[in-house]
Amino acid sequence: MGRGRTTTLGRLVAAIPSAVLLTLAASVAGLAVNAVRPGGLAWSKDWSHHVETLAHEAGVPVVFLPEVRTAVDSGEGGGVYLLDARGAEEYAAGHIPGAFCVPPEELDVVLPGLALAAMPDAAVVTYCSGMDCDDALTLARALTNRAFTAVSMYSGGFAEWTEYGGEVETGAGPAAVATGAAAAGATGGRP
Amino acid sequence: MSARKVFSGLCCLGLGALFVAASVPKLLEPEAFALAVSRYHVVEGVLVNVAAIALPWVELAAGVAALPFWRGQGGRRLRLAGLLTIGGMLVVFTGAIAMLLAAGETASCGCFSTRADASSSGGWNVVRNVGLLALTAFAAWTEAGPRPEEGGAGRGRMSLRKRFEVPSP
Repeated sequence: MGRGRTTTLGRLVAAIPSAVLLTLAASVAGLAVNAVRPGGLAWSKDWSHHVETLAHEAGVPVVFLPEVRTAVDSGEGGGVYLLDARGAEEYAAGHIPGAFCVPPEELDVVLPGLALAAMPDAAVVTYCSGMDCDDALTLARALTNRAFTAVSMYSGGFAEWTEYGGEVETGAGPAAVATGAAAAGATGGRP
Repeated sequence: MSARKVFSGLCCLGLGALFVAASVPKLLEPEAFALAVSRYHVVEGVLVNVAAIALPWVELAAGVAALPFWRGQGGRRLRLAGLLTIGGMLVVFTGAIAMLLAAGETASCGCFSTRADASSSGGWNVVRNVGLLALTAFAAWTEAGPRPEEGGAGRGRMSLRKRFEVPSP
């Protein structure tokens, strides 16, 4: 029995070089096919400048489509403040339902008009056009610097939201309320 | 054929098919898979794409190699190599998911889907992978076990050499 076990283990160990060879051969085949395949991936893309990597380095949590869907589907943002970091024009053309228009450069103007201003521990999710923009990250960092403790970024942004059939709200929406409220010195808004 | 051998064959079939199936969306959507790889933060930025290109092919090759249809000595060796590769990948994947969860981050594991609406990883992914790892270990151990001619798995049979061996006086 002991001899049988040794033999079994010995065979397993002896198969390791074959497994390594299989891995190497498959990797080389994959890289070769990718090189000739139309639309193959560039080998050398540096992901260290990707918005999600930057968010990770900045300590800003990233959330994804299922979480944003859950928040929107549960109504009134599901207790989550969605902040659209795009400009007012893009926002008016279409945004995630319940989101407020808060471009990072207008944060100091818009924020006092939101109920959010008095709730630094409220859950906030920022987004912008998609993965090629960094406005959502800029906004998230600005909020974090203002002592907001639960700020995260939806990296897929509006592009991903619409690509996966998300409902779109048009018009000035809550932003107008927020801006109006700011002017009146109130703190209304959703949720 | 013993029940152990039958179960091992089923494990090889299931694991092989699973890894072949897992490789398909990654081969079709390499860019989306590269994004999934980058979310683990375990591969350096410049190596993300290389890993995203190679990994689905390794999964495909290991899955095909692990299938129970290969016959003979060579087939057995190939299957064992496939199972060991699957085991190695499962260890790496499980570790990466566990690290992600420990860091409090949520992201889709990218295991079977590269879609943005795939559900995020959770403790379930770790438990599932540990289960798959146990099945892989069982199948590999059985595959590497004694061959019938060695008097192990083929109980009651005697190798030709032994059968015709003339006992020395």
